[in-house]
Amino acid sequence: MDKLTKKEKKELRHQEWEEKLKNEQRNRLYKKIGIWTTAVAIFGLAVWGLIAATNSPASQTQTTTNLPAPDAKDIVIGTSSAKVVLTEYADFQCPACGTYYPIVKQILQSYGDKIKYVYRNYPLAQHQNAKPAAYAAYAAYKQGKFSEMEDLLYTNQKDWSISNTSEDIFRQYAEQINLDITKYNKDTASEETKKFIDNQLNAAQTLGINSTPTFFVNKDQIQTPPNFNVFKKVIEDALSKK
Amino acid sequence: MRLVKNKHLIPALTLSFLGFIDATYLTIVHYRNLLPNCSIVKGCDIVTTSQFSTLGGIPISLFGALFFLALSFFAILIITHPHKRWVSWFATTAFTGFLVSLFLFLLQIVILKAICQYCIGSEAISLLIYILSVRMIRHVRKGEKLGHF
Repeated sequence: MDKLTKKEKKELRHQEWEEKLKNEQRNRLYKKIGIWTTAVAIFGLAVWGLIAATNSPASQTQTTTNLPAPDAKDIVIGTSSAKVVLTEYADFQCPACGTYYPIVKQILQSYGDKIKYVYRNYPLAQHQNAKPAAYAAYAAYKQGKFSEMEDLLYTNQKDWSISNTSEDIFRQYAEQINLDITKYNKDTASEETKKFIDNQLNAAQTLGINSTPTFFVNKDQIQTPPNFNVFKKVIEDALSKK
Repeated sequence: MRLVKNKHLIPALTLSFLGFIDATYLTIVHYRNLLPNCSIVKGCDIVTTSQFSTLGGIPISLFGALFFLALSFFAILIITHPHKRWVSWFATTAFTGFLVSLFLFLLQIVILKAICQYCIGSEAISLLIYILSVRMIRHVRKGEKLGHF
């Protein structure tokens, strides 16, 4: 091999240096791409994991033998021969209850006589109009129109939740569903109604319920189902057990 | 080859990621109409379903998730493309988030009188990130290198 001249050696060194520099730049670029790809993957996986975690089947149940059975005083919709009793502890002003209302309504419509629905009041203290709403619904129940009032209360929840004239709004609803207004006024103001709601609230607290809505299928507390289909499955399971 | 010289960067990125998980969880729970799993303290249903939980129909937690995502983005940008500009952006975002968190914290304590563990967690993370961002700015001002490839 011929000996390299000084100029050629210099040229070679320069080429080697350039090659090294290019390699370093390439490595740096790969490293940056690697970091960003890893970050996107980690964040993406985190979101996917959270979605999967909240997707977990809602049929996990917890037996609560302390759940009081529906009695003559309860607000009950449906026949006594129904195979399944769906008990809901709810607050008319709670947005989550309002969100669940259409699902519950759909369940009741789908199962008709197979299901008995028990509505128990749990008006939360921080909801200024929850109790008056509960009084209005109970007064409507006394005239056989609980479902109609419940529908108006939940559907128009945003209209009255922070209103200072909620009682006037409820009276308008009562007129809308053709209640006897004299009786409605008397019932909403009566001590018996207030006591009824307070008793239901106390009973719910004693039972250890700390969120609304809370559902029970027969004696079992269920995790609030995320959608109609999951709720339907819970009811189907309960029907098949009988 | 040392990627990061600033010791506050990785803790800040980790906290941003944790904050992102927290806020994303609450966002998913909101859009799925679920109540968050409130096992430690009572009242997170009160906070997460209160009238203050949304702004123009968008849950506050979604803003929180985007805030933590932005912080993570700037933190990674500081690692891969070290520049004072990204530190300033990180610190400005952290400061804004800290002020909003402080407001939301007071809202829970004073008006709602209820505590949501996920919200408190997110607010605590915002505070820690803000402290770290202040330290990062100090280090940059002292002339310390942020990081390099």
